Amino acid sequence: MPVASSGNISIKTAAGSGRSIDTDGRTDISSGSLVTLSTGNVVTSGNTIDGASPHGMREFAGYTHTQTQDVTQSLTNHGRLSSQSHQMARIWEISYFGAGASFITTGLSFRLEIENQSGPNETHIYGYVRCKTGGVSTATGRSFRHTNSTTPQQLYLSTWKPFGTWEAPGHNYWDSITLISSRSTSSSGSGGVGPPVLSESNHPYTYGFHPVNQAESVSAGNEGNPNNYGFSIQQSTEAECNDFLCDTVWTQNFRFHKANHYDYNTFEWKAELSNDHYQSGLC
Amino acid sequence: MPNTITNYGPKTWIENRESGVVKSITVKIKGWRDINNDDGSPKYLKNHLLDRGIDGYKKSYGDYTSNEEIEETYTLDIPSEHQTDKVFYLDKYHVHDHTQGNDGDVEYQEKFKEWMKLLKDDAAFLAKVESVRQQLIALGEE
Repeated sequence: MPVASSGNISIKTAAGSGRSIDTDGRTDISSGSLVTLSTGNVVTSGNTIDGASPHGMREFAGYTHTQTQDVTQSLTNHGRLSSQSHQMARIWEISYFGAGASFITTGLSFRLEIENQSGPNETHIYGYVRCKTGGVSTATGRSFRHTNSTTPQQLYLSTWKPFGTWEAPGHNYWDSITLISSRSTSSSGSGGVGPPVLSESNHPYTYGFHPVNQAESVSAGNEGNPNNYGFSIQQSTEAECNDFLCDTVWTQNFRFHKANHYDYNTFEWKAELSNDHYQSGLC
Repeated sequence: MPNTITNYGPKTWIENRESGVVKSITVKIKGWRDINNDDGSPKYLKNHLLDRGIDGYKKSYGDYTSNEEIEETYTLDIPSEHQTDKVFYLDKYHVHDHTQGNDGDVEYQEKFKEWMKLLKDDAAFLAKVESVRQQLIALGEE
């Protein structure tokens, strides 16, 4: 809550709720001394307070102590950014069928390891991805692309591929994480039975994860014993008598939240699931 | 940002024939926002219940032919090696009508697969699909 921008303000709470430089303004420290409250980590960005201390009380009118998060995002050996060509992770299955119905389900699982470590950046998040479903059809492909490699790697059911690392100072740095996710489906062919069934779901490891656009409270485990948070995406299709090609691309990123800080949006990635049913012969 | 669904036929394709031969196809790229009503039913992309005629058994199909929010068209010229004078039932759901003979049905089906490949490799066509998607996103989530 910012300090009131008009009317009376006070160092402590004498002027009332929302009017204290100490309680509502400098949420990072606590003091009854204007000198103390005027020194140290005063946030000038977005506030009218100037960068030169000491500060008068009126300079704190409207003051909000919102800081930029001190996050280090690994750009080495992680999954490909959405701004680069190709998807970070992709699964496709192709079924050639004759009479009767053809069913395909493709899916990806995501996992975040969160743990406290020693060193200057004490909270670490490691992001991983792997296949959620296996191939039962005549042709199956899975690929994972690194940002620093144009050659796709194989994506597996049992092996996690690291796609991102984030670090920040202090234990349990983040309060919550939100998965920002949207999807785009493109289809063709006359054989589709019903629209594709698409889902983003909680996929618990140590903990589940609100899959889309809802903050998940997180806590870090100890070094070597991280807390794991998981979610998955899936596409199921059914076809009869004719071809049906269905392709969905998810565009996603995380939003890290920490109290009294601006939210931090991670890099954005794309994940693609392709279900291709090909009619073989007559129906 | 709304989730989006696009479909580009072939139920809605227009075959442009000369002397019975398909020379080009006019492809309609239709788009819907993937938004549900309060009761969970799709708001824009409707389902179509098809009576299979087997003991009254009905099955649900996505109706990609109507109710679209955005539509663009694209004409694909068919190379001579992929042209055909055969007809097929791509605009229907379940028609077991093979009156032109099985060979004709199979030939059309093989040509049709080539047309799909041409479309998926056509940058101008894919740009149209992306244009539909962006227009849907611009409509917002309501």
